[in-house]
Amino acid sequence: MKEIKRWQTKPLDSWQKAKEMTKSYYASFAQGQGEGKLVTLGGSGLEAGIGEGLYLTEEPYAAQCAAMGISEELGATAESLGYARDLCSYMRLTIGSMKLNKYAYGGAFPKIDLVSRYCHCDLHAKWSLIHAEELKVPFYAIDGVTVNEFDSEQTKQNKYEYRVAQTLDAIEGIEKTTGKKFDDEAFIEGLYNTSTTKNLWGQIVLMNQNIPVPLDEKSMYSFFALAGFRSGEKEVVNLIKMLRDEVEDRVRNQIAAVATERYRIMTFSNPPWYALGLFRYMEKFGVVSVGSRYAFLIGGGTMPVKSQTGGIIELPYPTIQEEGKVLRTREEAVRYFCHDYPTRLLGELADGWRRWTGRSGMESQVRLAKLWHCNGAVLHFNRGCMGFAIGCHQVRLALKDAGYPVVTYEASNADAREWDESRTHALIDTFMESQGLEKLED
Amino acid sequence: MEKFEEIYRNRHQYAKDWKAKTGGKVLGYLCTYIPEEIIYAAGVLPVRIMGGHDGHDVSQPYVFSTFCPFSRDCLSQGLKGKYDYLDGIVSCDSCLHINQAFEGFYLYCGIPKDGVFVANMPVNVGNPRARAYLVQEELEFKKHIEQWTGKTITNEDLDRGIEIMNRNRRLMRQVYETRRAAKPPITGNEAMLMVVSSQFSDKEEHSRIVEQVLKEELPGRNANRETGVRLMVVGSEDDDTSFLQMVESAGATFVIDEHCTGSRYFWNEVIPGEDRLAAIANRYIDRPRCPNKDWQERKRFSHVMKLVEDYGVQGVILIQQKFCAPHEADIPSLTALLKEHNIPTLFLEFDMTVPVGQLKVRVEAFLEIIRGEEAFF
Repeated sequence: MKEIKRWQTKPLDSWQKAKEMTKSYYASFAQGQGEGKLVTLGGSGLEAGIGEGLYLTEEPYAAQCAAMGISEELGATAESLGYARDLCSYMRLTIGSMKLNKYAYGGAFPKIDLVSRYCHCDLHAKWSLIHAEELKVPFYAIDGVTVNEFDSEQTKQNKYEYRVAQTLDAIEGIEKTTGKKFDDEAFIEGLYNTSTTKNLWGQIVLMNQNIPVPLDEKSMYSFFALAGFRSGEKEVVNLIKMLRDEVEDRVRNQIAAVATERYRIMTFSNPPWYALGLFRYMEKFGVVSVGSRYAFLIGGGTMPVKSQTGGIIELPYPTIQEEGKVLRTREEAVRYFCHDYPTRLLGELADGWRRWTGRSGMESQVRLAKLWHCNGAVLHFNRGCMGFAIGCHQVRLALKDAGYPVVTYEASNADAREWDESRTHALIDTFMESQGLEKLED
Repeated sequence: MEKFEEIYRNRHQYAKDWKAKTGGKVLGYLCTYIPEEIIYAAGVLPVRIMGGHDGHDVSQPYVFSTFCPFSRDCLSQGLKGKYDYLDGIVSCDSCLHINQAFEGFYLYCGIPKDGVFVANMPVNVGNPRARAYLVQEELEFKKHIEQWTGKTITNEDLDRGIEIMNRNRRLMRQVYETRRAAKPPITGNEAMLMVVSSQFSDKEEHSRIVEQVLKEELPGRNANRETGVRLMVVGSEDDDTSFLQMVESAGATFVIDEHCTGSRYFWNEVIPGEDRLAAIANRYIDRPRCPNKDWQERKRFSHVMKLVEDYGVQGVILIQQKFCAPHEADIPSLTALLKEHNIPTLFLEFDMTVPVGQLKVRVEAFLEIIRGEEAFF
């Protein structure tokens, strides 16, 4: 066997903090109502302003349920009520959790006061509506229209103004319904924090262009839900800053995520949360995943810019301060939010979210492979999330046409019943063999 | 009546003949939220792209297998060259699966690059901002079509486009009114063929045929046909003629439907107004909703219940396209509502090819249940 270069490696110092923050956050819901706080279910991006409340965003909660091994019970409950098994797995798990009155972190499902949602797939709104109807609470939904490559400049402006108007309406509606004044200051502070979090995340993922990769994709996911769905919290900003500093140190000292790194892959879609061990399995071959557009904060961490040599590189999305903007009023904050949330959180995947991948979506995936020095791609064809399965073949073909070896496997992001470990491992084994990679450890 | 089936079965030749006869352009569409009024105003023929109910393995490399069979079948037809006469294709903010088919069409089916359009449509049609947004987007769509055709669309053109669509809608409502009768003069299958053929043909021609049928054929038609159990079919895109024929040969009649190859397509008209685009927008905002757009306050269910009441429906067959998420999300609530109103339901999952034999057993059992209750009164 050829001698394998071994990089220095060590565990992440900030990992434990991330775990503690995640656990305490979810634990707080059981006590939330008792402390007199308003509890919101959903994800509208407005949570920071909704009166010091707690917000339970369904997707990361469902991902936690999957990781904790209860997806079968929750999914089966939803299905017994008539919700088809091919519906969004996040939807089925949260409906199951609600209907069973079972909270993954112990006790009953949290008492919810309000459902609010920024909707950008076929099911966000319908799923939230089911929650609101069952829980008999008010529901506010924002039609999250995103731009596509066929839109004129006027259409882009129309869509933007439509989002702004709806968001302002939603805020007024939430104020009326809850009787609590929307906290504009807290919302603005949340936006500043979010822009910092995303900028930091962008810096982090860009450092994965280094050889060796300092932060593997599986480890990223310990921080992902915090950075993606609680980005407006100061504590999260501090954590991601800590992570950024740690990754910088790893790059400086050539500390690798995977000691035997010899082949770099990218992935696609939200991962099978209950089977993140797949990344560790691939590491046995000396394979490290640099990440995916999803892991890169669903496209919100970095943005493409033209380099001085005329090519396209990626840079972290600038913070509000770096953009020279100042947010003082609700309107200014909402205008920033309505530009930032869909175009940055969804980033270039805005083309592929509720619409299709589009040419820029495909280019973005090929660019990831190129800039992050990937040797190949392992694509998750996701049965549990149509929003992240749309365009999977277009991505596969784009990478293939660009000369990257690609293997695909089918699973679900949150329904463990869709996981066939031995079959997936066999696919990976075959792919590795095709790339001349033997297992380095068992 | 045979003319409708003729158009349905020879849709591609119809469009090709229309092109040859008029020299005009043909624009394919995948979703009934497209403002056809604007397309007609431009002198372009809109034709709905639909599947062929044959194998759609050719779409496997381009569409994930868990996307709905209809979307894959539509793309398959494009990949097989069946739509090679299209000059363009238009989508709106439809469901993910239709969007995927749309992408497949413009990437792989040879649609000319300048003929690809998106007529943006709000998804939350119930929110107060949706109308104004839609008017703005219709204006953009109108500009794109003008650029494409080289023809300025005037108010008179829009009036003409509106009237072409409205007339067909009015006539189809008249046809559907006849289905309220104790002995409907047309079967559900025939009604569906009428609607779907309207989506494949020049509406002016289609309206002439419908007018003739209304006047000369429908009165007294099917007088000797046993209506049997009065059923409603609820679903998404459905042109499963073999299934409808089977059910209607088993002692039942589909007296009404709620799907987009049925009443949802034509139910309401454009109410003319000084601002033509606003009038068109109002029509699409207010039309019976596709489940994809039925939030945050539900309107679809009350419409379904009204149809049940108006048409004396005794049972509902829910035809669920496999993997169709918006419809699937509604099924538990809709079924519960129908049950609350003592309307029995039969849920059937459909793929592109329909196993009529297997489904017949279930349908017959369903009909027996409905008839069985009558025996106790």
